[in-house]
Amino acid sequence: MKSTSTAPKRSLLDKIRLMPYKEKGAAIIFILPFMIGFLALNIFPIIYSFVISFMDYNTLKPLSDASFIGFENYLRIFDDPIALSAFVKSFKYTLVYVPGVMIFGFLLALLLNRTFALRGIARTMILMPYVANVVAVALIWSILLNPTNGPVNQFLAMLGIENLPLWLVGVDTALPTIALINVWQSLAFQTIVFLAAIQGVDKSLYEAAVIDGANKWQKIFHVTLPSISPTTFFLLVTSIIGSFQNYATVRMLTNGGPGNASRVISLNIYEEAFALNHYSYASAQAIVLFLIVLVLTIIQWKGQKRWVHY
Amino acid sequence: MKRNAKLVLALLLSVLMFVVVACGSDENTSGNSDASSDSGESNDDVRKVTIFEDAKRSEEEKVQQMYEDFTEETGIEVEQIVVPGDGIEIFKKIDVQLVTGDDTDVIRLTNPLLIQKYMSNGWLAPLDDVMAEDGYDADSIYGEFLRKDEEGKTYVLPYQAGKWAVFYNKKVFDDAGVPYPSGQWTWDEYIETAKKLNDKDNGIYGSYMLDYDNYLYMLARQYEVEGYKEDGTSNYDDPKFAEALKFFGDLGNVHEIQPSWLEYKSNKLSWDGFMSGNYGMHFIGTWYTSLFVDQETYPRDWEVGVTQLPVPADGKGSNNFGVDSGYGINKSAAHPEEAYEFVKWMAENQYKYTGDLPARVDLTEDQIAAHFQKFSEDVNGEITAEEMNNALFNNELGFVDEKIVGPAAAEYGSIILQEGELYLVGQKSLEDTVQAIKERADKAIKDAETNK
Repeated sequence: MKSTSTAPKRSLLDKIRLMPYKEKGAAIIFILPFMIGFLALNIFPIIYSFVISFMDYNTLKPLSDASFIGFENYLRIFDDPIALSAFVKSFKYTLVYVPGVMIFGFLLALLLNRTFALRGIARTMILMPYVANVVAVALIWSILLNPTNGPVNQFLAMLGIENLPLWLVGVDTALPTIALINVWQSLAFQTIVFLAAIQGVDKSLYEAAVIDGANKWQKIFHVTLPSISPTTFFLLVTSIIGSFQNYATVRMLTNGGPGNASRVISLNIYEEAFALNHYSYASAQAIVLFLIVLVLTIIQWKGQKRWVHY
Repeated sequence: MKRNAKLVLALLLSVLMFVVVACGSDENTSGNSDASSDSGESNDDVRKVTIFEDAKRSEEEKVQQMYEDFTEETGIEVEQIVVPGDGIEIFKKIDVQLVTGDDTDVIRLTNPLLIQKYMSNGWLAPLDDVMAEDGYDADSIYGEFLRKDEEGKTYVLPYQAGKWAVFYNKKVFDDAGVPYPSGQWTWDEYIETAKKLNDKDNGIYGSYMLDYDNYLYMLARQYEVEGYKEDGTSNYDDPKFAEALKFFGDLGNVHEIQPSWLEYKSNKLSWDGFMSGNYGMHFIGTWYTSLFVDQETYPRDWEVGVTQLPVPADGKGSNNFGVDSGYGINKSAAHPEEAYEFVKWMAENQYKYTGDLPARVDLTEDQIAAHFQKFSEDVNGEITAEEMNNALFNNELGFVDEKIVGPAAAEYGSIILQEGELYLVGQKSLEDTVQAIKERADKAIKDAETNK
């Protein structure tokens, strides 16, 4: 038997008109502006990049003249020592930058959490490098670390040190120097987030630890660190992602030099795409970088169960 | 109902904002236009031409004067599409503009590598038919400087064919009691002269050179050694390239007559460093002469002189070298007829405004002399017309391309700089450097052939 109840059919226009009065509809409308921007400015370029990475769009020709060539651009990476070494350099950079920014950020947060004179000013000062322009930062550090007449090497020479480091113009020193300059510049973010997390740790835990006879270091390792582990995890993930995306500081400080000593993968991708017009090849490198970052993030995500306590 | 209307309005505004920000119009994304295009006239009767221009040049008075004179003569207004950045950097953005179908009419191509790139990739409109229709005999006007593609088609009209010379700071010479150089001389004499000018206590170097790739192989080019072998592979294993790299490195590292590469890079010295007055001689192309004229940007308390470039002592490399630049028309140009008028006019007349060496072979000696005379007046007689003529034309020197031009030329130049730098800062041997350049250049050439 057919149902006789006939729900009034609403036109599409009516549905749209009534959307704001329903919870789901209102939510959609609120996030719509963001979604439009996100889809157009993030997702679409990623898909576009993914598609052209399988094409032979490696000269300055119209896209319509390019054809699909399968995985050729991806295979080419393994035959390109410059691209491979750029990936390795990004890893090396991460190995210096991430521990640096995490350890120093945490230690600085511990210090700033203590009561001392001019604490407010000190907390403000710590932010200065973070808000400084990257070009200005690059210029200042280039002057400070000038191997021929920079104050740092002059000071080291006064101490009687021979074979002074070449810093930004040395093959072995350029990349770690850039990483340390970046640690100095971005330390404030990690410090402030760590500081907020430390201040949020339940005081009763410290009291209980003291009653149990814990010393200062035991309190840090057994109370503070486990309590702020979600924050540490967040900072670790974002620092690693950020370190692989590092471009501006390298560009300003060494532009990848001397030779290719500090040519990290982000710089290599930019140069391949915009200096040499190898759009497909650069896209393939970018997709590989994306996959590397994705895998690292997944590993961390899976591994967090062992040490992150929510 | 009111609430509903507000939400719909908010939604529409958001979408509208997105459309405006993300898409924009050509004018919004491309930058400013000059005064002539802001006159409010927007009817179709106004003939206009659009040209990509870098930020610095778009504000130069002489360039504006040139465009105003063009408009006065032809009735065609010039709209500058200002591309952020200066010099060669703007071409990274122009590349993207072209790929996305930009219809800006004219592109000023400042070196042969760019001409080759835009010509061979089909971004420029061929000029042969329109020139034939116009009865314009470009060959007789531009001669050897008229570049053609493999099929003999013309896409670019050249506006300058620069040469190299040694410009010197007379004050540094006077202070050191060294006579000004003139006439034919060798690199050995250049080095000896520079050593006499060196005054490190006062921060004075006898010589100044830049970090362009062609400095690293300038000696090889003087000997007319090509960048490619007959089979198309890199010719960088020719001993002259190693000799040239060593020669350039020694100027700073051994003879110490100029900042070493290490000093240049770590002190972040700039392309216009000679204008600081701290250097005795500067080996550079004639495009640099506009800086001597521009005393507002580069105020100086010293006078400048010029002489011809030095040559190898064995007499086998007696060549000057240089670079040609030209105007091309975008194949998607919105105003192709006006663009052709513009390109033609600029190629013929630009040198009168900017002080470039013209790429015209039809000019008489008197016209060349008059051009140099004007330059001489612009620099208050510090350099005479005769000195310019002697340094650039009236000498025994031949002429070769300053750049390595051919397949994967941009990559080739970049490889030379990357690998050469390691040698110049003492972190790689000469032999290993040359081998690395040869291998990487061969690979780049092969890849370029594959991607054709």
